[in-house]
Amino acid sequence: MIKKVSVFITAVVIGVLSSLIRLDFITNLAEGASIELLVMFAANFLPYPEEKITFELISSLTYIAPKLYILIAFGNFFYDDFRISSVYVFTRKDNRVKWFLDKLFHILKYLVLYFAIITTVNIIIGFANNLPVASIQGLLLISSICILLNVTVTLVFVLLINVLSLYISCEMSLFLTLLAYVFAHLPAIVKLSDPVQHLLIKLNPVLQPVLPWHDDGFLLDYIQPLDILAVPGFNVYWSFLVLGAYLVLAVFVGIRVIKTVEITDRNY
Amino acid sequence: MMAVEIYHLTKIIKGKTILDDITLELERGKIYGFFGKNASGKTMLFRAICGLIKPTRGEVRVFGKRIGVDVSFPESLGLIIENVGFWEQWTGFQNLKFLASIKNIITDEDIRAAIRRVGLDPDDKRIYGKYSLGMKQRLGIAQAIMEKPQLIVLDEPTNSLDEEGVGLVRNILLEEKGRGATILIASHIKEDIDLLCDEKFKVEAGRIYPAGSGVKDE
Repeated sequence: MIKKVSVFITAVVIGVLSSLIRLDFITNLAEGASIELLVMFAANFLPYPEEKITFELISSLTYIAPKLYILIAFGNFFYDDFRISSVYVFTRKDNRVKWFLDKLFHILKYLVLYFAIITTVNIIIGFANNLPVASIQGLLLISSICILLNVTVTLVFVLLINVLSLYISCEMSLFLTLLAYVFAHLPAIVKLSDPVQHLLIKLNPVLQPVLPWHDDGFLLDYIQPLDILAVPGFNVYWSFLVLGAYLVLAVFVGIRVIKTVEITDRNY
Repeated sequence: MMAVEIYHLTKIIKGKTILDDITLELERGKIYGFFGKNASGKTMLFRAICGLIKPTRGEVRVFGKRIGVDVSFPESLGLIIENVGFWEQWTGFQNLKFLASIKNIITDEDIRAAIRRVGLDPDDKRIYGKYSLGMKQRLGIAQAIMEKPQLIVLDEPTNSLDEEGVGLVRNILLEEKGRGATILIASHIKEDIDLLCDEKFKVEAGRIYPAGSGVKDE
């Protein structure tokens, strides 16, 4: 069972810490300081690799840790039902796919709440420190995009952990998926030729929520004063398309697995 | 219409034949007993009837519907399968209430009545993790019968029960039969089978033999 309260308390803590870490940087900007920038940089920023190896501990922590935590918290979401009481739960459902979709929407609900809390706390701390809002519309748009991109990428990996856990142990499934998740951040650390780097970033699910790398017009208005280069052709629509494709694939695989996986033990 | 129809059911796992070309028809409103040694195929047969595994070959129909084709699981089913537990940190009532909420066809009072029926206290504040083996088994029986299913499948229903518990469960099963339910029991306790069942089958090496068909019953 998910410890809901601890998940939401953690979201508040992450929201506070990620805001405070970035607050100095944002408030000391010569121009363009805004709550929108705080939201973009608090937990949605990684530096673009300029040298052979670029690793910023703080950025990596604020970007990766919130997602790692929620992946660990939800890693046993299916497993609980499946291994503890699968027979009793399953046989009370009309069918297996319905069970899977119920679980999916349940997870989705928690993820939306989790990332909404983090983003809301970022905004509140921005207000509390007298940061201005450059545009209400921009703030709403950026906040919504941050939440949706983070929710989608996390959902893909939560599904991966949970589906794998039906075949191998929950711990092993979590370990392998987290390893893959962390490894997937390499294009944000290792410098490659620009075309290859850009391609890897555009196709990589875990890097889609790095908002400052997107080249949408409404984001460039905020980013340009900071002298951060956007990845050409990397826009929010593209991110939703890529993550949507990964999500559809994960759901499709999940449904296939749930429809065929057998509930057995060694006792024939 | 038959309660359960099984045609040429075969299950092979990793090259080993667990169920071997089983064909069987079971009528409504009767108690059927399946006995045999460990790993003879009893539990796997029950899992196939309940839609928990896919047959390698053959077909299972419950109340006319093909399992895994028309429906994923039998539509009105209560079951206990070995080695399946409840949530340790919840009380017995909380566990059953959660399971009942999935179908949402019974009230809290129905759940309480089912718990009382197996000799447990619905207001017991102890969590499931603190239950004795016998209490766990009784709670399992309560969840199997609480929604008044038409098909009740019980794998070793009197496991871990004391003499009083065994008598109680036997009475409950006879009452359920009286209600019109079809009951399938697998047990290594021959007395359970002899006392309760209208028809008995021996399961041996994945095959089914009617009791008294010439295959040694021990």
